[in-house]
Amino acid sequence: MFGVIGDGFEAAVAGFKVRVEGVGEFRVYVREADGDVKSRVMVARALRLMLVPYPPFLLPLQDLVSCLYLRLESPVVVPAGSSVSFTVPIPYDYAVVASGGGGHTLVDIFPSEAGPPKMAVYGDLMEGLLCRYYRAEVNPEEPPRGSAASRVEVVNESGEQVSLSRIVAPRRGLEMIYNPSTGDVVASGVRVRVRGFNEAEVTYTPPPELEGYVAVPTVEREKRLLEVLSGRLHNRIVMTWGL
Amino acid sequence: MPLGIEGLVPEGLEAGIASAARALVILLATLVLAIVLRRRVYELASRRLSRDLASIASKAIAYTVAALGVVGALAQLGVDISVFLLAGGIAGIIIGIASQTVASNFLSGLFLYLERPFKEGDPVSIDGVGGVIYDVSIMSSKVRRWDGVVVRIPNDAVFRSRIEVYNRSLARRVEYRVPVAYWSDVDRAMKAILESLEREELVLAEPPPEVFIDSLGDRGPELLVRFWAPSQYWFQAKMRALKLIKEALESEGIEIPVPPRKLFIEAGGGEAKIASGAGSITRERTGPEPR
Repeated sequence: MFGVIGDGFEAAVAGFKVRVEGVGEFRVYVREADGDVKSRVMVARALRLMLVPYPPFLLPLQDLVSCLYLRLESPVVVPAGSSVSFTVPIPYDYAVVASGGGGHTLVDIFPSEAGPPKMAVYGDLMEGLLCRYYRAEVNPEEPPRGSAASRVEVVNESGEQVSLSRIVAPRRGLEMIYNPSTGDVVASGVRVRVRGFNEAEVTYTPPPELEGYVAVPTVEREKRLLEVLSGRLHNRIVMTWGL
Repeated sequence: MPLGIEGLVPEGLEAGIASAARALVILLATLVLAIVLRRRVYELASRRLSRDLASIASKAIAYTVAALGVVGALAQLGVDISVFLLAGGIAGIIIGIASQTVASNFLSGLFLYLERPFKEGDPVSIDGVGGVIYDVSIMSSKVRRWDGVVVRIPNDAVFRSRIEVYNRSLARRVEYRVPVAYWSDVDRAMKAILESLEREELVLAEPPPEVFIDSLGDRGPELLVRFWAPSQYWFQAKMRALKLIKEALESEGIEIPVPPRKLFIEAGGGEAKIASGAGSITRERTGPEPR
């Protein structure tokens, strides 16, 4: 389902009907739900239209969300001084991107089958972080529809045994790759360095190099937001309000 | 016999030239000091305060130093400066009395700049005036009310008022009271409400929404629904969630009871019918209505 979408494309995606029509010098992209047009954009033929999975930070409020809050359905207990690794699903949104000349413009973005994009506050209401929220199952047999697999490595550097019930990961640095043939999506790995009973540092590691997979491009809007919000968005988060 | 300058210049004139020279030096020195101070104060103040306030503060200091220099120079020339001090004192009292309000607003503005309880663009309520801060100046603050009207509030009133800033916290709580009929399944109603809130993206997942029975009222158990929404989108969340709750309760067959009302309808010959709202109890009676 992912990849280039050209004239005559029509598919049901996450409860929406998505189609592309050729009209003169343009391609007309239309997204409908129950007969209502939710989005209609005209794109010059010189540009290539692509449907890609997109990291979950542009929905529901692109300029407010500053992290990804994964609430683990099953908390993970890690002994002192040791490390464990497991897989979690990371939600993605569907993005339609117009690419050409090295630029990538966001044409449309809509939620995937992972459910309505929810948010949560991590930490204090005044000093905390507003995050995209997702309830993640640890080690699912395969990631649920609308989510990408991510390998998590927890290194407990503290001298105590800890229980990890959530992971708050930064907005900057999450990459995704997808396979246009199978539709599989893989996200960056997550590294959690536990520094104390209630404190951990979370960073990303690059996604694995897999044959047949393509990297999701970063759209101009996201690049600009990362520039504007650079003081607030870093590529690591120190969880200080509990694990 | 060599002639010294003492011989050429009369003694009084020599002293006069020396005094004038000292006065000139004092005047020039204070003027240079005033200019340097003005620049330096502006540079330092503009880092913490707005440019117009920094400009006012730097000018005030520079003019004060320059005025002191003029007074010092005049003193060197033998002018009695006590006259100036007296005149200055009287003028100060008159100006002080006349500009009490201005000074009060100015000082309040200064303190507001230092305290910064809000900034331009913040949604606030100041002394009951709700809206978005449109402009903050040294004398007044302007609020663009929710209906679009711009209200100017003098800074001394702002300083004395209770100020509510709606976007300082990441999220705000929304509350609804939802009565359900006594014969409705309350557990099902609570579950339906929580599920409907889960579908709304502006309702935060954490802190989690809450539903509980808050009272047992005339209409039935009253459920208190609480959830959090991002501060900037609090009103949109409030609007959208109530509709979802109503639809969820209707789809589950949960009755939201209407308030009980008694209706007296006078019929011919003194007969009356009494109808009660939710229960729809109807009976007939005759005679005058008891008071």
